[in-house]
Amino acid sequence: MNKETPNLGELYQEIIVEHSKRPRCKGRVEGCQFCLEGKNPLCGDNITLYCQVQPVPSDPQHPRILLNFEGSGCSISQASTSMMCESVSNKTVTEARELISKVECIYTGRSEIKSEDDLEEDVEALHGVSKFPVRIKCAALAWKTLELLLNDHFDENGLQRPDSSACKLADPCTSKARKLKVITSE
Amino acid sequence: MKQLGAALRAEFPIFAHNVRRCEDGHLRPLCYLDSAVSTHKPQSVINALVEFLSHDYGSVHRGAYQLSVRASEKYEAARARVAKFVGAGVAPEQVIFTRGTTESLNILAHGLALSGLKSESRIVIPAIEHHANLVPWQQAALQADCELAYVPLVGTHGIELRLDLAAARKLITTNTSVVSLAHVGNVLGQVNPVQEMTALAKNVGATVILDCAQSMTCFAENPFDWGVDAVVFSGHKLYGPTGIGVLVASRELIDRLPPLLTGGGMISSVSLEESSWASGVAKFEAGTPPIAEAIGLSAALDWLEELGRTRIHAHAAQLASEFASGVSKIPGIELFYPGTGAETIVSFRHNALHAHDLATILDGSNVAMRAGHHCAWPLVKILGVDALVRASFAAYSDRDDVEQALEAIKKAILVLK
Repeated sequence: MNKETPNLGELYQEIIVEHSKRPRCKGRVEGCQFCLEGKNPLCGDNITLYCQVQPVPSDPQHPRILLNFEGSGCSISQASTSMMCESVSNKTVTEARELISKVECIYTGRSEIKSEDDLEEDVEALHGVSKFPVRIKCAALAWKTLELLLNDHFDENGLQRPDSSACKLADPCTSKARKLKVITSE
Repeated sequence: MKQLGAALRAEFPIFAHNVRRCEDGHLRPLCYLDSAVSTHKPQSVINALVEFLSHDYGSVHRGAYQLSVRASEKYEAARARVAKFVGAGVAPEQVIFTRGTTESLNILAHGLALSGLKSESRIVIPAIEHHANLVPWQQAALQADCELAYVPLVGTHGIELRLDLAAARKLITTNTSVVSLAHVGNVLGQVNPVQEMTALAKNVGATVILDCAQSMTCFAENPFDWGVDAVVFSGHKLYGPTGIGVLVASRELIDRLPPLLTGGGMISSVSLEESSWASGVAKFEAGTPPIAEAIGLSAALDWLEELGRTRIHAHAAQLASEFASGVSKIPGIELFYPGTGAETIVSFRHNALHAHDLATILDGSNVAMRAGHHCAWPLVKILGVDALVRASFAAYSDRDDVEQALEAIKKAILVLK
């Protein structure tokens, strides 16, 4: 029985390679309002999203968000994060959530890309990932992390939660490991 | 005597079913270089499973009817087969069937935490162990509130890459109760100095546990001759089925350790007020055991011993060294390979192409290699990298695999240039 190889060119589209080599919005943001770490524990890809909220004087109810990231991992995970930060920045929380849902349909292959779709061009390049089931989690990491970050700090109407606290970088594993009496040299 | 390498693939149906038309239009055979994660199954193992399930299947130690009797006999015969495989002097009464290396190590870590480890005790393991021989000891140390000491690695890049025996000498102190280590590393393929480590541990009266998940296909020595107290391994890395593993322990440990899992089959009496445990290996086999899998494992051991473990080792190590030599000549490749000639595993990375991307592109040429942290996250961090690609060689590997893999790696690097 012969099996076909999915097209690698669809996965590694020029836009994706370009974003992985020259990521946008990359770098730690000191003193940012919200941040969240995302990991794919089985493969080691990791990102930290830094989110700042920019008030809009004419529309105080709907501030815009600015995203930056740090991270390391495969080209798909890092390019996806770079594209996300670029395309989400200056959007409202509600708009960002809509984009998260749309892009999820793209990288899981649940939606065909329509030309009239108002998606960012770069993000559309993620459709090739859907042919590589093991790599979907690489593309999804950024978007799932952003979804969690937004849910932590904004209600369903996109308004900041009153009890929303700043940067969350606690890792349940490290806090447990700290109690271990570890010896590395005598 | 049967030939190793490409000729052996006729016994493995997986190869015939996985010839693939690649993007360039060429048909390519399956180049499977991930046997360190799991080996494929020869027809004799597949037949043993089919025959047992078709003719003799029944639950063990539970029925008065013939099928249960026959299944029980075959299950116990598999236990005796494993004992013989591990080495002379090992009794079937020392062989516990588990679901794999991970469960075997959990039984030991949990059992020792409850019976022997005190807050002043120390557990010593290499820092470079795979998670199966690391996380359970962290849990045991937390449970017993005792120390967990890590033996470091010597060398970080292409050179040396061996366990730091001098550091181990200092770390294995008189309060050390347990020393647990892999015989062969799953990422670097290094053969650990088990006899020296065992001697150090025995000097202070510690229990020694040897994880043979990677070594059982290649080493025929009986680890109990070196003085270890327990040996663990998995069936699926030995050309056998998944879902079956082994814990072979000294009679003293079998008597002393409390069970990890409790339930049916492992009790001597149960009342509403209390329960007591069966003696011997039954204490550790709660619930319906992996019966067909044990019979499949037994067939795998027959197959393996017919080929000869030492022969497989020489064959796989030769291919690994040829691959290492070839891959190291590709620009941008960094090797993590001790290069003593005994390794059957070669780990490497490319300075600009992430391991996952490389592995995905290699799959496009029908080359199967593992990429990532290989369930040894601390080791990968110690090496100062985020992920590695690993090629591992087995009885059915051959020079054509080395060539196909090297050609695919060279091509992959061009894809993302």
